[in-house]
Amino acid sequence: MTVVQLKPSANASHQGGARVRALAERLDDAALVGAIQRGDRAAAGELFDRHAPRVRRVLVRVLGSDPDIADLLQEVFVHALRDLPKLSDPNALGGWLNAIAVNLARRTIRKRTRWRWLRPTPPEELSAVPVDGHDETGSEELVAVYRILGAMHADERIAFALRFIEGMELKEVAAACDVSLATIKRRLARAESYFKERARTDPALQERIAKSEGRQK
Amino acid sequence: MTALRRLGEEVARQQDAVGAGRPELVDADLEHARQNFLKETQAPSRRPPRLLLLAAAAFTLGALFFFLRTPEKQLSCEIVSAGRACQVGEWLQASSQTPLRFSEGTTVLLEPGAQAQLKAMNQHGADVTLQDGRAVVSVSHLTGAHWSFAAGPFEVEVTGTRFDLEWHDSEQRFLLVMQDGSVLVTGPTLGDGRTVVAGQRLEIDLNGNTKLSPEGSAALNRTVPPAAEKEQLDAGAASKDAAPTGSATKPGSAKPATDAGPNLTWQALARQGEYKLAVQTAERDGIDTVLNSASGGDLLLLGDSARYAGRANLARQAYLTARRRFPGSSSAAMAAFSLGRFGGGDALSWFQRYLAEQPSGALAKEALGRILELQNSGGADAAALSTARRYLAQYPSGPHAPLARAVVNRAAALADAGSEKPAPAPASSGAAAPAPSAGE
Repeated sequence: MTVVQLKPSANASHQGGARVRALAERLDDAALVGAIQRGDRAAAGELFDRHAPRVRRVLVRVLGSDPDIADLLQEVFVHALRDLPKLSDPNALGGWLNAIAVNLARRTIRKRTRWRWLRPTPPEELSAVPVDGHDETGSEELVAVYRILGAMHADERIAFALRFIEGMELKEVAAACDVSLATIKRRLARAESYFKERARTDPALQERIAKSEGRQK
Repeated sequence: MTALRRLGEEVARQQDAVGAGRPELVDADLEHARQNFLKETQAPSRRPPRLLLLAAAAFTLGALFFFLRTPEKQLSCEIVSAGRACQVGEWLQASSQTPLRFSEGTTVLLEPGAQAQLKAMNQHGADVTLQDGRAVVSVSHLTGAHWSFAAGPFEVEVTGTRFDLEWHDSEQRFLLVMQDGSVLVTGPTLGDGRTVVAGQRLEIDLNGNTKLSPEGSAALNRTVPPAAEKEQLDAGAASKDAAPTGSATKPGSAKPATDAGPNLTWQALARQGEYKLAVQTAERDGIDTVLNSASGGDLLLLGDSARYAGRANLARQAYLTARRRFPGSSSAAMAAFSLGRFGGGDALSWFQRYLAEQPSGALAKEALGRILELQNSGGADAAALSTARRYLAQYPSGPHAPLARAVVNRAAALADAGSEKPAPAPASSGAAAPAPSAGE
């Protein structure tokens, strides 16, 4: 295919257009859910625009910088649209989307872990996808964090990322993981213990961990 | 605040800084996901007649919102086969099939010889002038859409979604073939305009003779089968990007297959995320038949569905079939990338093949990054160093740039120390110029 620039011609000045209705006013989440369930596709676009940046952030917190983030993000909303009739409280839409994202991230982690024997690289390294950071030292620290998370059990990794990186409250973490508060506390305790143990011997993290433990003593 | 919370905040800050410093990276993710998500929503849902009143009320409300809404994002247009953006005001002459894709999903396929101009573009749509030749148009039926196609002295106001448009300047002949939906055509001899619906064909000649064919003849007159159009639209794009909205439409039918209740095609099921069901349906249709008849894009869709459904062998079979049946196409290259995702000893080779076949493809950066990872972790030091340098030259701010720098720096440090064998850099990325490999 070649594309060449042409000069405009005299009879190429026609105009026309179509006008189709539009969804514009900002609905609350409950109204948005109602509109989607009535088949309003513009509302589906609004659902995405409103919640996708946060859902993407949750995925990035759990998985790190990952080339499949865009595909996973799409999948979250496709699942959400399909399962919308199951949403009992439309006002809880944000948390519900978080839970779908977390569930999808868990499946992704487990899938990759299952295939670890096929791959030439240890899974903890594969999971430690570096990011485009501006601070080289900081980037090493970030990479180190995800290297350790990559070796964790998926459920503990998710709990750790949501609690300590995303900064969710315990109840929010429990809701996103669809487990009880007691369960999430147990997972976090195991994740914290594992992380600290690995961080103490990681060149990028050991100084920070040692300092914090020194202060505690 | 605990040490872990402080560390977590620092990690979050760095992740957010990436988005703030390079917003286009985040935008690309969001845009990619949004487009594909909206495609999933385009199959009209069945609603009982009793909801018509509510739908009318929603329409009225929507019309009100149209005037009150907040500013939306500007559309963009890509010349898919050229791998570049199409500029407003740009005149195009297609020497071969030239697919244009707009960011909200609308596609315009210029047939060989067609001359067209993207005259204007805003957040609602675009004005396209077909100066000469033939275009296959599929407008995403989104609320707020406003599209206009001019062909000679005629104007096509888009109220539907899919049509073929021809204007032969030398013969002063206009032809419109509706595939889906309806349009209003205005221009000489047409008075207040002529509505053309799915299945109809409107032809106007030099003498002003107007011929509107009966319903049902349009599809028979279609010269570009949907599968062929889809394959063209796949060119230069990732598989999920490339699935056109009309791909689920059966030739000769104005009704999308996705509206067929329980009789959904495997493609429609796949696009709804019903991967297991999609695979089962494809198998019910006869997997050999599907593999031998599907377009390149559909083979990728089948491969992806099988992969998500845990059917690795079938996924590999679909990707390999795409490479065998469509050698040299973007679908074949995408299949190579997907095969690389399986890992294993062949992964490096597959990513290299993708890069050799699509050096400027949508996934070129990711492919080079993955090559870097594999070479670095595999101990291919010289190759990793070469790839790292290439990566930094091409993508100095790319996601694998820190790893590439680590590889380069480590090699330099070892060279200073007189060592001949650098150790792999820490984050599983390596670099080496990928070499095109022989066919599979």
